[in-house]
Amino acid sequence: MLVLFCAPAAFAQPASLEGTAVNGLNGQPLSGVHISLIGISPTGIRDAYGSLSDGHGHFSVTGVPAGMYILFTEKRGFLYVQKKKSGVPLPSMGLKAGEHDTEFKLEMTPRAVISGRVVDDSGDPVENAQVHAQPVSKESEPIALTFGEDTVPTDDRGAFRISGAPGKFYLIATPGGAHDAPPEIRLDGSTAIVYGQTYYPNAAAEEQAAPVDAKAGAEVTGIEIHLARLNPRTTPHLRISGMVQGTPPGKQHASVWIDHGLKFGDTTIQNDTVAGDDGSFTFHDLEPGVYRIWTAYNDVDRHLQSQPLEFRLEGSDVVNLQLNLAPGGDLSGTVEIAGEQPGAPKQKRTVRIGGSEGETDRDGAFHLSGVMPGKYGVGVEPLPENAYVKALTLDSVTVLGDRLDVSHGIRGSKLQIMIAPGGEITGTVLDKDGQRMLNSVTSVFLVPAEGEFEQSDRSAAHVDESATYSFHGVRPGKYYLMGYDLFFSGLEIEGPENIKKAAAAHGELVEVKEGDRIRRNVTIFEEQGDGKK
Amino acid sequence: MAKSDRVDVHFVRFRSLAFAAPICAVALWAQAQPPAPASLAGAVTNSLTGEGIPHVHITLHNSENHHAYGAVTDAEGKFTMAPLPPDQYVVEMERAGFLMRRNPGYIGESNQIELTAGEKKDVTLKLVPGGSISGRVFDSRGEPVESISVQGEGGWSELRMVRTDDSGHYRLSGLLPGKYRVRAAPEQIPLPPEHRSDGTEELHHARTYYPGSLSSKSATRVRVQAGTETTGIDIRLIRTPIVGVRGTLAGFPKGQNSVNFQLEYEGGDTNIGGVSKPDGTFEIWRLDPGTYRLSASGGGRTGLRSAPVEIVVGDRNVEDVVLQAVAPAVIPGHITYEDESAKPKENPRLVVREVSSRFGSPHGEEEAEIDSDGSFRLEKVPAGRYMVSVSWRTAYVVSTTLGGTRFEGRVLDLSAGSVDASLTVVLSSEVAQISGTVRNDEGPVPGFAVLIPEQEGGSEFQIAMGPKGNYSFPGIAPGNYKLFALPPGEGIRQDAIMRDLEMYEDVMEHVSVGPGQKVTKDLKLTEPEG
Repeated sequence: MLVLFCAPAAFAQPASLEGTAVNGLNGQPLSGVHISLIGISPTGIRDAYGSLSDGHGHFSVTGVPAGMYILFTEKRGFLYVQKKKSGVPLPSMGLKAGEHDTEFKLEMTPRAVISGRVVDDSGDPVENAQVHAQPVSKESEPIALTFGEDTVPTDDRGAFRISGAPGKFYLIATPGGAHDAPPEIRLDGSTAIVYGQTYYPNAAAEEQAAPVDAKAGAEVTGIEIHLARLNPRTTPHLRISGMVQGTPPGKQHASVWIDHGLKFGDTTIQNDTVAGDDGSFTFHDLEPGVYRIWTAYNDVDRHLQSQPLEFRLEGSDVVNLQLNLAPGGDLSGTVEIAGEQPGAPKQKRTVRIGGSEGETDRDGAFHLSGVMPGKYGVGVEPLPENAYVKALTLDSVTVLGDRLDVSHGIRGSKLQIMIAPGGEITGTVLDKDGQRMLNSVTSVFLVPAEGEFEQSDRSAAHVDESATYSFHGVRPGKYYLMGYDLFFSGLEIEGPENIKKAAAAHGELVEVKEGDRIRRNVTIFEEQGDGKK
Repeated sequence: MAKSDRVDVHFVRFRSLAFAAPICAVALWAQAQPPAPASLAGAVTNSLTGEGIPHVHITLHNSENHHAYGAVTDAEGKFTMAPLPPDQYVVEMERAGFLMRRNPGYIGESNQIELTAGEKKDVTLKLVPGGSISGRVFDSRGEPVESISVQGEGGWSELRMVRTDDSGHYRLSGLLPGKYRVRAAPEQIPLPPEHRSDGTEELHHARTYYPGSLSSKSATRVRVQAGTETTGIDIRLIRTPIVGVRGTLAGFPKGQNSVNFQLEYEGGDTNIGGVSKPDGTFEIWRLDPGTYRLSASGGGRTGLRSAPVEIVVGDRNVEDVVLQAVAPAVIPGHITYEDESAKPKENPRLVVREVSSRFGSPHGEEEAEIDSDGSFRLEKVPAGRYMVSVSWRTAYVVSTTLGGTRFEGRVLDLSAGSVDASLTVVLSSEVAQISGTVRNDEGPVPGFAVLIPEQEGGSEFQIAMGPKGNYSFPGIAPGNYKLFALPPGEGIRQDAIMRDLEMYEDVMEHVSVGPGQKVTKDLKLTEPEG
């Protein structure tokens, strides 16, 4: 394997992959195997390079540009299975410039099959249940490229058949139909049975599940999943109801939304409904927890909204909630740009807050109407190059940053938006050999070294075709700059906490002051082995 | 009280109907006491054999109650539900291997049961044993194809997709008796042909209908009977060259994936991905052969759209397609009334609804209020072709004139947008009406009546339904129409019906109405099989 470091022409030198496709179980060569290397880039897939194995199992893929590829294979009855080694959930391989692999052994694994059926308490078949084969240990289980074949619906005999990579699996059956259907009324004294997600053979929880060992080239039959009853105590049954006040007359109704979560300030959208003619609304069958509720009304002429209400739902229903629709408030103020001459006429800019926008006049003053209660990012366009929103002063209270909290509504408030020159950070992303990270899924994270980290579009940048990244309008401060590649840097890092930890461990510290233009090349960090951090 | 409800909608939900039974009216006057409870008992039987079916889960829903009443049949298929409040109920039944029928005649009026105060009703409910279709999928060389998705087309509901096993075998189950098309669709990766240097060529197949047809129109329909498996439905995939559509985007923001592509195909919309590039070019790969209407939309807030371009995909790439962004048009205008009676009474609005003349699936709709002097202003109408109508029923659109061009009828062509042109809409009060009764062999039955104008190629679809099978379409424009009846059920899927329109050729009525004319036409509702 020859890798050229210094000659620039090396980047243009194509690589190749040649070898033999064999049956992984008995080593016999396989003809008619279609192998395809599908190129990956930050913005999606690039070209594909392929070959078809001949009577001796021999294949040859040549003229492949250096980079990362998804390894896609096709041969009836077989799969290509690869040990998981990176953040990529599909079999993959990287080819370096001028790399020529002539002895590649493409081991194809005969498919493993699991079949059986799903039945209920009476032993009757259950139609339209979804059956999913979940690897027992997600981390170390090998991966293969299948088109969603690990989840199948049961047919009219309750039967299912799953074919895929060999391994140990939990078989999970989820009954079809509406899961939020309210409990039905039985008049004969019987209890309506509600079934829930069940692990083979009949368990509601993974702890009591029995793994199924699916072997290559073999079928495990007779897997009968006996649906487990959903515990009535865990069935959500609480109710929130109330009235919307202030709906304008006419046919249009207000809509009511609720978010649900475990703690205040941390809720995600759960449900919505339309208020009735009299403004009443009800949400049924809710779980205990924290709820945030608000209502909005929209027609051609008007946009009304209520102040969001947050409360905790525990053992009993919440009824008679009152939600008052009100038009948004007026917000006026000025945009102040550091360094601008006080008397000179100012450039026209657009201020955007929530769904409202307004333009600044020659004195930099603006007026917005219809601003609803809520929390918003304040946007000003256009901004001078690399400028950022430094601070917001709302009625004499100053907050650093661009987040405006008007959750309690506004009434003729005054807002001063301070814009200052921020920093710029650009550079190239390299691999550990100092080569540009081309033809891969590479990004750079910019994580504040101190204080709160809120993940946003501004905290990560993808590289372009020449492996260059850039951050503009960076708020002054100390940051960790971390290069991350989906193929090399280990498992995908998710969540602000994990990103912060990874950045502190692998990133480079950089300090940004107002007006700085920083050029910094970043090296991706590479994880070996099982990808654990 | 036997009024018919007319709706011009894309999807209709069956609503419970008002009842006028005199007994109930009397009961309502006796305010002090609640009405005497009713009961429902009987059996669920197999529609083929007549045998009772055990363990059928029955639910009764009424409009008021959030909770349904439930019961399960015993070993002989019998059940009793008592006491029940008198009301109009919708019945649902569930049992693996069986399906509810979708036509009237089995439980009084379709799936509805009315219980009056004190009534002890005895019923025999029927379930149809489901049918199935099985076969194998082969590629163009005759090799079985593994893991390809196979789906049935036809009937009312979305049918389950299944995948073939490693011998290419599939089975579609849970089918109501009837006729179905069966299609196998390979997964398509949105890439140009792969590069090969070993002398072999990439084998690519198109979505193929049984037994081996590219289009749904020429596909053979497979007959399914209750409780029977129709076997041997083998599909041979058709090999097609890998072709693409390439061109440039003009007037759109530049960037990778900055626009969305919409490809309308005779079989519906396809979801093959298109890619737009930073240099303003775009590519769409691996489309099946056929005729498409391609448009792009993007720019977020600006609402830019390109005028749809018709492309024909065959053996070769389609190159140099230009998708020109057209800004949404602002169109001022006024109404001309041919006669006084055409004038509106209250809240008059002008409605323009987008149509795709060839493929019959409407998209957006814009409205404008009409002032007392007859003037209006349409705001932000995206490029496309539209049908113009008004919100009141005593007038219809005779013609429209945009700028200097006059269009007969209601079609307004805004494919190239509109700049500084004024729209004149001429209305006449000589509206027509078509009404009648939906019947089967025994007499009037509830059912939907569907009205489709002939000239616009099925672009507008109206539905009417009355409680006793009577229907009425008042206030329609004079012209030629197609009419047919559909059984009542959960809802109407307009796109599915438009695609399968030829299935109704046997029962389709053709009606002509002149200005001011009222025509009566009864529509035959055919019984389903099973």
